Amino acid sequence: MTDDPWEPFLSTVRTVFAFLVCAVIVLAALALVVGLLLLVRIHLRRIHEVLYLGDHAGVGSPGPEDFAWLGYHGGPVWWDLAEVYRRVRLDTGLFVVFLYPFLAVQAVVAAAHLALAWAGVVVSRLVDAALLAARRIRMVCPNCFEAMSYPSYVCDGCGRTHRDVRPGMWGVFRRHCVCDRALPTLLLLGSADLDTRCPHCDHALEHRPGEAREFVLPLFGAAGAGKTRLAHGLYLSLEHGAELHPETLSVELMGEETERRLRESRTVLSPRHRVAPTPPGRRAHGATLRVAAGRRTLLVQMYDTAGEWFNTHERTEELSYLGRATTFLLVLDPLAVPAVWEALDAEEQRRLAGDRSGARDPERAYLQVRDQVQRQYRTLGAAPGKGRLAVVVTRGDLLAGTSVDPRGTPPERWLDEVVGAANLLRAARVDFGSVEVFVTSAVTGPSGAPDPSLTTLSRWVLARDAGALGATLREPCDPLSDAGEERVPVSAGTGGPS
Amino acid sequence: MIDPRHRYRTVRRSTAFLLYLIVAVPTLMALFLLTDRTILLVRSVWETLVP
Amino acid sequence: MSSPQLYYTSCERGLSGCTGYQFNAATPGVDTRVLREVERFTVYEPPRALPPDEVHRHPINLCYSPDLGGAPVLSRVVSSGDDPSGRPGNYFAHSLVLDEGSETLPAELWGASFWTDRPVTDPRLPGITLPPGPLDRRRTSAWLRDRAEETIRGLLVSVDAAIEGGAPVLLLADDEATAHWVAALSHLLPPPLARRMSFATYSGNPEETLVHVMGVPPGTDTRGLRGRFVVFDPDRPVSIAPPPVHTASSAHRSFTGAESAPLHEALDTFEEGPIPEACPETLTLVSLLVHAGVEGTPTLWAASLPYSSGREGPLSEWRPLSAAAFLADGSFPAADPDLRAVRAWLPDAVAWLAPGQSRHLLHRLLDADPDTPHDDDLARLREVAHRAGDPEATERLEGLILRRALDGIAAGASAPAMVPMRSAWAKEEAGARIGALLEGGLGIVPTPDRAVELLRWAGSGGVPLPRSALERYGAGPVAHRISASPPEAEPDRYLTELLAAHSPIRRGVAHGLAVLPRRNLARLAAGPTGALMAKDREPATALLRELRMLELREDDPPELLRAVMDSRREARPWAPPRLADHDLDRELLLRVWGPAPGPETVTAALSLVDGRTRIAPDVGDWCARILARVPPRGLEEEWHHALTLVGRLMLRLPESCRGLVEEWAPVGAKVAALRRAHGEEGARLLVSLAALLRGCRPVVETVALRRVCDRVLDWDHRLCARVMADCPSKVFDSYCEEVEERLGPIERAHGRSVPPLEADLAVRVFLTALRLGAEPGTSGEPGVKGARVGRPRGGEGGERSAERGRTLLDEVMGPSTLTWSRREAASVRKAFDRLPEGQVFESWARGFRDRHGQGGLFGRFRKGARRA
Repeated sequence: MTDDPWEPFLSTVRTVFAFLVCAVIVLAALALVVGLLLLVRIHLRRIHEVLYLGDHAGVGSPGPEDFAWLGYHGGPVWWDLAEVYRRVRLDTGLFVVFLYPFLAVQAVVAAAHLALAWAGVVVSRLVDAALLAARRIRMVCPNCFEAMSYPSYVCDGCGRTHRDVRPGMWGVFRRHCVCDRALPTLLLLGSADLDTRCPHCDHALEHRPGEAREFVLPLFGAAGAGKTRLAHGLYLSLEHGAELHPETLSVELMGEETERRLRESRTVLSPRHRVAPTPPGRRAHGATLRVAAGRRTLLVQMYDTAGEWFNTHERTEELSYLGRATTFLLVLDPLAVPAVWEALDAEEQRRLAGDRSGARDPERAYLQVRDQVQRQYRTLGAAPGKGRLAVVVTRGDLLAGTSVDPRGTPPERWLDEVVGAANLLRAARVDFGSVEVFVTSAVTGPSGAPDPSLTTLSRWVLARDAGALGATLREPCDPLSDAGEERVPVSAGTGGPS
Repeated sequence: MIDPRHRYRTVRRSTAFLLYLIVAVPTLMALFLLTDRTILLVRSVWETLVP
Repeated sequence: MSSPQLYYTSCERGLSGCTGYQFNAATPGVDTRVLREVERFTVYEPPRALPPDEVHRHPINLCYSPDLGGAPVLSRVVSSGDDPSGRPGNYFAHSLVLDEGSETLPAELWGASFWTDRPVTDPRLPGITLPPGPLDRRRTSAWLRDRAEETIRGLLVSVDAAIEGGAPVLLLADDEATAHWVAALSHLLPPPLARRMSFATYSGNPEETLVHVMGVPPGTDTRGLRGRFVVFDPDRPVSIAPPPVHTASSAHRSFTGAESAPLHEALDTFEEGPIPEACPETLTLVSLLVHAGVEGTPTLWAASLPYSSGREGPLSEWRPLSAAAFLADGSFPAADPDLRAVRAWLPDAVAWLAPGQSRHLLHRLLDADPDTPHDDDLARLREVAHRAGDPEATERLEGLILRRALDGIAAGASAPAMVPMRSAWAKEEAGARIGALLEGGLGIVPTPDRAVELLRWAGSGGVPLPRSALERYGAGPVAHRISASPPEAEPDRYLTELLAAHSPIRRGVAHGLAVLPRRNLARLAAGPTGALMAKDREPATALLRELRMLELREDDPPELLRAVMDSRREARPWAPPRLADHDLDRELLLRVWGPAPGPETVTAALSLVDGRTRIAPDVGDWCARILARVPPRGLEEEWHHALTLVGRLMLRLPESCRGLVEEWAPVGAKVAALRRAHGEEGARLLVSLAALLRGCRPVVETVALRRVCDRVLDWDHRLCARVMADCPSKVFDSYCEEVEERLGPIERAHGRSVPPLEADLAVRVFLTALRLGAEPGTSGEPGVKGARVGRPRGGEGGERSAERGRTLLDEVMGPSTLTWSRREAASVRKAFDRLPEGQVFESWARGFRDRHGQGGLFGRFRKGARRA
């Protein structure tokens, strides 16, 4: 082996060179590390500022026109993302490109949040709508008779009315009012507990619409036919049934207005009591009863409108609730029909003269209502001929014992043969899918129980829409044994009206 | 009027924590990888140049 | 005009043709919308507490609405027992469609005899002409006598709020009492407002009775209604003292807002509460109405209605009308609240008021309280005056506005926006006020920043500025500030603006600074402050401009002198302070040219003088001093001109200068003649000149000889030698000096180029020296054979001539040759080429150089000192 004199020198050179190369590599790596750390630190700091501390002026309070805070998915999620990106870009300049992967991840997170939130919105609305459809719940305002997809709710913190609280931009399961009160967004979640208003006329809806199926029940007939008394009678029959079967049936008056009108039904139906006429100046307003049998609940909106409203087409046209109903009660005063009155003897006529109403043509009201129902059905796209009509002959208790006593005769035959309403019935069968005739006595017995005829009618009214409810109502029993005392006619010579 | 920061605090902070994780973890991994590779490279260079 | 009637009840026969509730009869022509609304409005439910058959005990509902289907309708609804089918609860509504122009208030018709409660068979009803209502003011007043004023006030406030959309008022009172309360309200409220108030003396269902005021039977449970109604129980006593009355008049009283506060506190004690919040204006008017009473309010409203626009709404909008009426009446001094109310209202009201009304109110306002109105109120009132066509009030208000604004600015407030002023008088007054403010009208003299603000503001409004006040301000505070600051310091921006923008201030400053010592003034003038006046044309600042020019010396002296003289001349008619008495004086000349100028300065100075120039006596002295000195070589001509000029201008010269002029006169002529002469004549003249110069002043002699010798140098060398041989020594000395001057080293002077060496002159001088008898080599040095030129003169004369020749050669020309450059020496040598003396010269010159150490190897290469 020969000794190369240059070898030590070359070795040193190699070592130095290697050291330099390694130093460059290490420095480059260090630079990358430092750069990465700096960038990430900037990004994290901005995330901390915007998201953790909420320091983002772009996401502000609701404006004066707003009612609720936007949900985070309703805008702020993107605004926050954009703000983070903006700040990071200001801090890093062109180096922001190295943070794009992280920003993309943040965008993915935001998108996931959005997707989740909006999926929640869609699903919850679908479920809610499906439940409403399955339960055949349609909400109708008893004041303006308009159907509503969803009621408005009033915030119990500040009194703001929220037009449509359903899930959306302003919240999925909870909507936050401007005052920060959390309101439920669905009936499922308890929105019915809030102060409810009609979205069309802003009338207070005290019957918790949406919780149960609503059943519109119009009573119509000439002035003095007995609609008001019948309405009281229907309510009392339901209440009586609830008293008898408290474990299975309950009836509740919904709202101040309904309570005011029906709370004294027992007094109104007492045989000596004369009911004041319903003034036509008072706007038609549904009286809402909440009838529950087991798990089934029905909201019955009973419309007792003054008979004068059925005299002319113009007035009947305003009763748009007619188009929302499928069951109708035509109330008829038999004493007002000339054929019945003529059939009474003089003594009976003298005795019953004070109970006779002034309307001589019961068909007039029927024709007005029928035309209006058909027109409204067409407007609403409902199928005609699917309704139910009950022709309710009132004053059955006064006719008992007279020469035209309807007891013992099928009501329909009695109506046809005695009242002479064959044409009416024929027309009704064509116009309505199902027609029944009832003879009722809107009175209470000595025990305060309503006449069984009212129960029979109630059962028929509820039969289609709440079969179980109708079945729960007690079978009618002998009216004489149950009612006890008959209604005293006005002109019976006993000293005037009771 | 409620402070907007208070209004969205929960969801924002949740998102923030999630992002801390999502940003920090890959960063640490990248740092680890970079360090490891650097050490390997330095060693191989040294061994090649200085037998 | 008759009012249509309507009967509505449940009957068998009516307008509908059916049995039931319907219009039993009506006056033809009533709109169907009115019918529908009346049907809705008149629904009646008897009290549940009363048996349905005790119809006589059922309350009567007298109800009114100003707009049912577009018409005001008054209805009286009574319970009428059973309907045709025997059902209880029937009611009869007798309605009247009122005429909007009717003077009878609806509530007054309570208990009127024309009301009916029975249906008729004829469906057509005649219209009815309304008689005066039985519930008139007298009855109402009597009824109110025992009622608490707080109740009335509370009702007025609540009803006012209800009419404007607030909660309706619920009175716990029977129908009769409610009718009286409503009548009282109707009588107290302004008639248009009373007609807007809907009421019902009885309501069976308050929530469905859409009126502003309604009565429910005493004892009715109102707990559920308190959130939606303002509930009053008028019979509950309230022991609260009324607020104090402000003036003695029973018909016109007003109460301050502070006095209304106890009312509101009192009303808040109503347990039925809450009484709506009311503004002080409402409370004040309510107190006024209550105090006036139902019998006094017609007068109040009769006086107020002429000021109405017809669109007034709540009571707060009626308050200014009552205040305006009170103010216009003038029977009593108006209180501050009334004045405030009218001031706030009048700018809008001028749109509908008659010009005379507006003017009258405006004058009353200004007479009552000219100083209190806020600036904005003043501006608005000014507009009122303008729109009402009241130039006098416009002037007055503008003057007030301007004065206020100026005082405010002077006191330190920022300048308000300038409102265009229409009144010339107001502007003049404002100008005068500015003057007063600048002189310390507010107790302190405004600082420059305030002054700038004032003047800017005034300028923007076209206010004429008072020159004399500005001058005084300039002479006082501004000059003081300037003089207190270092002269070199830049004046602050406010001072700068004042000086730059306002010539009167500059004048004043000039006057103010005139007391400073001249030195300080000069420094000021030269500094930034003086710069502000540099372009000024004001005579007052002439001194400052002059000092600035003299300090800065930006122009050459003649121009500087001209500028200063012009400045003085222009300013002199206005006699500015400390302006020099003369346009040209010695001090100016010294400043311009310094202490030892040459004779050319005399020429330059005196050439600027014309017939208008005021010349100070000491100018002659200055000239004399200059001319008495021997001028520097080369300036003899200027000296001569200056002396001539001095003599021509007949300046007041000192004795010595006069002598000088006189002495020079013949000498100068002789010199002139000699300079023109040729040949022998010149020689003769030279001799006579020399004789003339005997005994003359040295300056005369020197100047004359210089001028002469300058010419002699051009003579032929033979003549020259002959003359120099015999001339007096002074002449010869002067000749030698001239030779030295022209052939020797030349001092560069201020960039003037060095003229080339006159080689011919050198030849002539050399030959002259030879002619004089100089032997170029006779001083112990080797000479040149044959160097002598001409025949030597013998005797003493010859000796002197030779001596002079040698002097000329050795002491004058020789040293000169040492300063020549090689080129110059060559030119001289060349000039000698044609002459036989060339060689002599050459050897002499070489020898001279050698003797004086300029020979040697590199002698030829020396540059020469001639161009030192």
